[in-house]
Amino acid sequence: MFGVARNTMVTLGAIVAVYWLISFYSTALRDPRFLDGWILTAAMFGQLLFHVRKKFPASPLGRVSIWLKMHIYLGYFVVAVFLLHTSFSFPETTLEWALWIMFALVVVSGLVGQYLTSSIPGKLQQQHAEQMTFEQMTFEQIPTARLNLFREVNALVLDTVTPEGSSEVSDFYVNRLRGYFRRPQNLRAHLRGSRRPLERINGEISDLERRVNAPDRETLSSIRKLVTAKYDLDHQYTVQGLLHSWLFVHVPATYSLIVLSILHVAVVYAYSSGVQ
Amino acid sequence: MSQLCTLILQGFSDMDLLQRFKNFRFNSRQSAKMPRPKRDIVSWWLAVFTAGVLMLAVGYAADTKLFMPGPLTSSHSTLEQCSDCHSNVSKGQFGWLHAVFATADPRKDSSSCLTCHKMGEDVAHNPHGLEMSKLDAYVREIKAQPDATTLPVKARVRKAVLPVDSTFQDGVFCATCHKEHQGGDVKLKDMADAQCHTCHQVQFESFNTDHPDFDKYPFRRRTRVNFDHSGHFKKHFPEWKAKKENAGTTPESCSGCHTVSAQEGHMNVKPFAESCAACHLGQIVGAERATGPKGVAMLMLPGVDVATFREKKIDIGKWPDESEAELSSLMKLLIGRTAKGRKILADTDGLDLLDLTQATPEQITQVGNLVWEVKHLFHALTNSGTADILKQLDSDGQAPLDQQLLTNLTASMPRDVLIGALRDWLPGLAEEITRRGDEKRADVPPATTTSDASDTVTVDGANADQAENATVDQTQGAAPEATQADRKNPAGPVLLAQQTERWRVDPFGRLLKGNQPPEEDLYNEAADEPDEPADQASEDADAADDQDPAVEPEESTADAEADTEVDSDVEVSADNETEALELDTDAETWAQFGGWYRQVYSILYKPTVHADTFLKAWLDFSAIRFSKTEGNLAAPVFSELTGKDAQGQCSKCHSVDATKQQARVIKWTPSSAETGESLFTSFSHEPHLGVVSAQKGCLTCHEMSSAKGYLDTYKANDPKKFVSNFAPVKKETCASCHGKKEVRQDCVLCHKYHVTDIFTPVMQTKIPDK
Amino acid sequence: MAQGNLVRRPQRWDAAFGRERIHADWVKLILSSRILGDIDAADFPDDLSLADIITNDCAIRWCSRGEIVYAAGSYQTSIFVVLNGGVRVSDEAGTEAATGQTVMPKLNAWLSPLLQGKFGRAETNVTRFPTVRLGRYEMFGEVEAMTRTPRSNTAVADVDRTALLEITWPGARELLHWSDAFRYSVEELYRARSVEVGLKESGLFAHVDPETLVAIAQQCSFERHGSFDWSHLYQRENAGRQQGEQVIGQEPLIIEQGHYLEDMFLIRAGFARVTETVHDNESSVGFLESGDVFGLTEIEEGLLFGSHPQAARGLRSVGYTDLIRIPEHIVGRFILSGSKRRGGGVASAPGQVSHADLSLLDFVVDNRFINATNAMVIDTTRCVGCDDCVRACAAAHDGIPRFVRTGRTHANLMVTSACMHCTDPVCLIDCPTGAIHRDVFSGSVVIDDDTCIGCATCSSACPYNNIQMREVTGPDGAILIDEDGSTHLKATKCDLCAGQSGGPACQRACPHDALTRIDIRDLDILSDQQPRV
Repeated sequence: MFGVARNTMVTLGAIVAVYWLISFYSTALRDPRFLDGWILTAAMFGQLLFHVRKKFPASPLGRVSIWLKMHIYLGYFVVAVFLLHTSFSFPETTLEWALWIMFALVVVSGLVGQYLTSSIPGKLQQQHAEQMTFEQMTFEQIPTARLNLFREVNALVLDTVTPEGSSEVSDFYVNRLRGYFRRPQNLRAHLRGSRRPLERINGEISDLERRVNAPDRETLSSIRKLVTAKYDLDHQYTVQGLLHSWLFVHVPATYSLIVLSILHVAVVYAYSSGVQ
Repeated sequence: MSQLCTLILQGFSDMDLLQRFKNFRFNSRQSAKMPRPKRDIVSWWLAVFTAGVLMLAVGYAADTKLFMPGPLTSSHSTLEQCSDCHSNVSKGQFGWLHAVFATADPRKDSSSCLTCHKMGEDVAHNPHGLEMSKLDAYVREIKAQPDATTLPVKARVRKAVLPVDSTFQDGVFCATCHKEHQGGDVKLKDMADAQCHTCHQVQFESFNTDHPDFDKYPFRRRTRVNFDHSGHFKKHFPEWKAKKENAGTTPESCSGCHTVSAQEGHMNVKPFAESCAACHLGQIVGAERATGPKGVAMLMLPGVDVATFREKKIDIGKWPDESEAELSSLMKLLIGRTAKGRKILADTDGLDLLDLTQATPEQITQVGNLVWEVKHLFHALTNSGTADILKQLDSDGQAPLDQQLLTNLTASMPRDVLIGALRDWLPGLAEEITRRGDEKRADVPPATTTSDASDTVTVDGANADQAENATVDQTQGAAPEATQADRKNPAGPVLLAQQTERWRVDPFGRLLKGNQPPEEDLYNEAADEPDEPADQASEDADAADDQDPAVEPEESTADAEADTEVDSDVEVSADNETEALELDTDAETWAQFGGWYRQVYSILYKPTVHADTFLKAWLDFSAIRFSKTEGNLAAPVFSELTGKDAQGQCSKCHSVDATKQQARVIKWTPSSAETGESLFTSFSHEPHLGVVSAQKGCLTCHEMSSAKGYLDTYKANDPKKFVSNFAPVKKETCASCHGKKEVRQDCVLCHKYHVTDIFTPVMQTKIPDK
Repeated sequence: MAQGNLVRRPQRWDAAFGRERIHADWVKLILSSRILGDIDAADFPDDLSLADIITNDCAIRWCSRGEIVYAAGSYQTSIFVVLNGGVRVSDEAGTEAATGQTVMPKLNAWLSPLLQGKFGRAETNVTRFPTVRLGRYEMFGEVEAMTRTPRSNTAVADVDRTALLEITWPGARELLHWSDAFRYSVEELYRARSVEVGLKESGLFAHVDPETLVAIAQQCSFERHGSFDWSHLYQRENAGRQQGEQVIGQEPLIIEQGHYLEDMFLIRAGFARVTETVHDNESSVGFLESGDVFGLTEIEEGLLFGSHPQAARGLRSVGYTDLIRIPEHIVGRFILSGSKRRGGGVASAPGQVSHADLSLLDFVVDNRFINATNAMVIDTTRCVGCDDCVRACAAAHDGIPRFVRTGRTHANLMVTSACMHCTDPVCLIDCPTGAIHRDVFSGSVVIDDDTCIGCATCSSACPYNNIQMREVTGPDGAILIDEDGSTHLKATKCDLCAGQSGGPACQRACPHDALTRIDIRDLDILSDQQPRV
């Protein structure tokens, strides 16, 4: 925690320093926009370096976790400098708006990402400890896991289908559960972290249980297990998906922001009056 | 290969996992092979997409407004092309591209501002728009101040971090302070104090806290009009009021004499009529005095020792013996308008004209010439020669004068008075001048000789003068000697040659005789010249010798003619006698309220009103021509007109300042917005009148000072040496309001940055031909 | 599968161990003399003759006086026999070993020059400290060879031109396996020495003079529970077992709770689990490793109240356990008589793995993670599954990651399937060529690609399935194939990014401080949260 305090202090210090420098600069009859503009450029370049570092994961250039810390604090610094650069006002023209929006996109996605990465794994782990019937696995494993569940439940249901046997279970499966097992379901519910959909299905299953014979009841109870498992799998899928998805905004937006920034600098210099 | 390895790697990695996830290998092989993450692909595409969109946007846009960082101020919003202001950007969608790496010249952009906001092109980019010389002077002045070196820490740091000198060595440009594209309602003129502090050595947080105290503000010079406030308040007003007939003529409040001009809010003095006239008009027109002094002797006949001339047989034409007056300074000034005149005056200077018995022949000759000059002057004035006289006054080697002033010198002079005077004093002047003129020149057109005498005289006289002018004009701006030299430039002989030619063709001998004496004069003058080149002299001499044989025989006839003229004179003077009998009032008393009048042998003038055109004209003229140098003719005139009991006593109130060239200038008008000297500071009385306390009023800021010697300073001519009636305005007085938060106290409230006024040029529209 | 080029698979002894092979004359000499005890060449199969073993898996080392044979704390597992000259073995085992064990593994290879410098001074050490001189045909270094522990003492050549026969572990293993005579002699030596060394190292008898110590040693007895190669057994146990299931029952019992306790146990090598049985439910409460004692308090109390001491807790061997039984009266006479007592034992906090969470202890012990000096542990409350660690590993090992981001999980801790560089690396035992070995200085387990013949012994021996076999590709990238059509294999596993600056790439690449490589005994540092950003 001490580290956090120190880093925050350093960041704030840097921001204040820039603020003073700018005020000096403007009162020295120079155009401060060039100053904070270049500071901003430099800082953003620094942010990019993190991206580069991640491209070479094995390189001995310090631990990525430290890089990430720098990335985040520098990020807050960048936001501050950006606000100074725009003098806390919205842009007035198209190009500026494009820049502004892209920047905002990058920043917001970054903040969201920071929140998710710091919060979700903990929650997920906790939920695991409490209720998960399904062991934790990597995001890449989940589809396979889903497929296997699907196979298992298929097998179960197929067993119940016998010439003389009743077809309640299979019907119920075909009508109700097939889709549920096929692909991720109730994503919104998972985002909310609610288990209501699961309870609903379980309710229906218990309704069915009253009507079916003993062997089918057996099957149903094991199906119920699989249903829960699938639900937890979906939950993992959703939240882990969330963990992966935010980068799909953050990184691309950054790239397009770079393009816009370059144009911005070019235009600024093309149209500069040459006054310092 | 690696795929399979990972396959195995994954396979063995965890038994139960392996059983559960058949496809797992496939998935994590992806991560094993480390393909470029999907998001990177997306990223690259988005980057390319962005670039493309931008290209299209710029390419298809009507103009480059797309790039504008923000709207222009409302007054600039009509500017269409970016290149209108951004000088190094060429037109078109991609015109800006080449400018990206081209270094912009701020001067160029700023000059494009100047097309509408005109100010001195040469100084526009200097700090404050001052000439560098002036600026340096100011800087030196400021640096001289004791607290010039005490800088606030903040300022020191800034100077260290961001040195200014380097920034502005090539000029301060419009965009330095006026930043555009800030939005429609942004005030481009807003300046923060700190911005002034960028350059200024003496720095302080605010006016209230540590602005230096005022030094003698607002008085930089003595008041132009010599008005001793304390003297009037303590002495004159009470005494004047004591007489009951003067009730209500003295002012009760400052507003009795002072008004605020609506624009600028400058404090003005009411015109003479509304302020001083009540008491002082009489002194001007001189009605007050029982025996006022003579008026200004504009024209007069000096007394000359006529007898000597007679016996010396020198022809000065008719001249009244009775005149005893000395040649007046004004006359001298008029006569001295030409180089010749000045020469004569110089030669005759110090002579007692009334007794020439001891005088050398040369001197006597010169006195004769002097007399002739006087006659010429009168003749010119009465005839249409005034213009020429003024021209000559203007053009004796000095800066040309204001035409109005010139004309005022003689404009108000009534011709009839002159003619009347001449009829009395110099009857037959016309003929004398004609003859003299003929003697001087032979270029009389044959036609005129046959026509009426007086006409001819006028014409000739005019011609003569013009001819003379011609010679003088050539010598404009040259010293008197130069003028002399001109007389004898090679043109001289040529002229004579022409004359001899005419002389041959001319049938009448009378004209021929008249030629000689002036030519002699010429030669005498030539001989007198000390610095004349010998060869020229001889050359001239030869030219003369050619004619001598022809000239000699006519000697006697000249005298005969002189007699006939005398007779004609008598007749004229007889007419005068009869007129004179009818006059019974003394001209002096008649003219007590001013105007022109004649007495004995002089024509005098008394001012009629305040700011009398005639006196003013002569005062200004003599002031301009004034100089301390030997033989300056304006100086006596000036000192006579500004003397203690001079007519109108103008200089009693209107202060006389010495100019840089040691000439004089008279401050006619009191200080006003126009005469304001301060470049940088501006103060508007108008908004303050409401806030000063009722009982103290103007005294709130302008306290009376007890300092003595206000009047004494006007004896000298240095306006900077002065004692004011009022104490300087105290800074505290201003700070009492301008220290509070609400009230502005920033630099630009009182100090102007641009000292040159900025204006929009008038349309250079051609006048339509048809 | 790409058509690879046919190449004969490398065989054992293709590449000679370390130095050049021993000259035949020497071999004859060695065989003729009784250097290796009464070892009989007849015991050996034809395809693995004693001569071949000596030729290939042994070496002769010439040492000048003061030259270090091996330094305490270094991971060097050969058995030495003095052929000529003499060797002094520093008796400062306790201290040296202590420094060695704590310092040496942590030192990186590049520090070796310094270390050499340190040992260079060993000569003076030898003179200064009491040492044991070993003469002709005497064998030394067998203890560490058998127990796969770092050297407990420093051996320095005593005279110039000292000749040593170095029997590398593969050779030693074969000899032990085929020749009973050799095995007996070695084990005898081992028991004798390990008791003495053990007592010394324990420090319990620091205040006792050497002579008495020898006497004591004779009264103490050496015991082995479980077997050296316990891993196969464990794997069998493990095969069916689901996670969380108890394995205690399957572990060899050393002493049952409540039984009469006549001796105090001093753990010499391996690990032991301290268990407590409540209502027939036996659960582990502590955990002992080399140097720990069991039953001290019970005996103390017993002596105090004159009663028969009973084991307050049970003790089970985890894998294998070598222990020394110290009789009750000796404990009373020498240890309890106000000597400084070495910490640990059940009396104090249960075991060396000191953390509150017993379930974590169970998890660690059940899975034998207790063995790990460099386990890859992921804090699942931080891991976001970005797979950067995997990428980093792949990047560090030409595109192929050497672990998978899965593994046994307990609470928020996941021990992934990366080599954990065991304290007792069983993978080393059966390696025919000694290709898989420990780095002499760091002690981390690494595979020498040149000598690895791809026999997959190690990978099957690894209890955690953390060693993988992978095909070998030729320069053209095609897979090498043997005449018999099978592919060339080589064992691969996490090598802690040996030879790469900056330590394990996986740990460096983790953006969220989720992944750490730790000695399992420090597992408790994970329980207290490091500060987040």
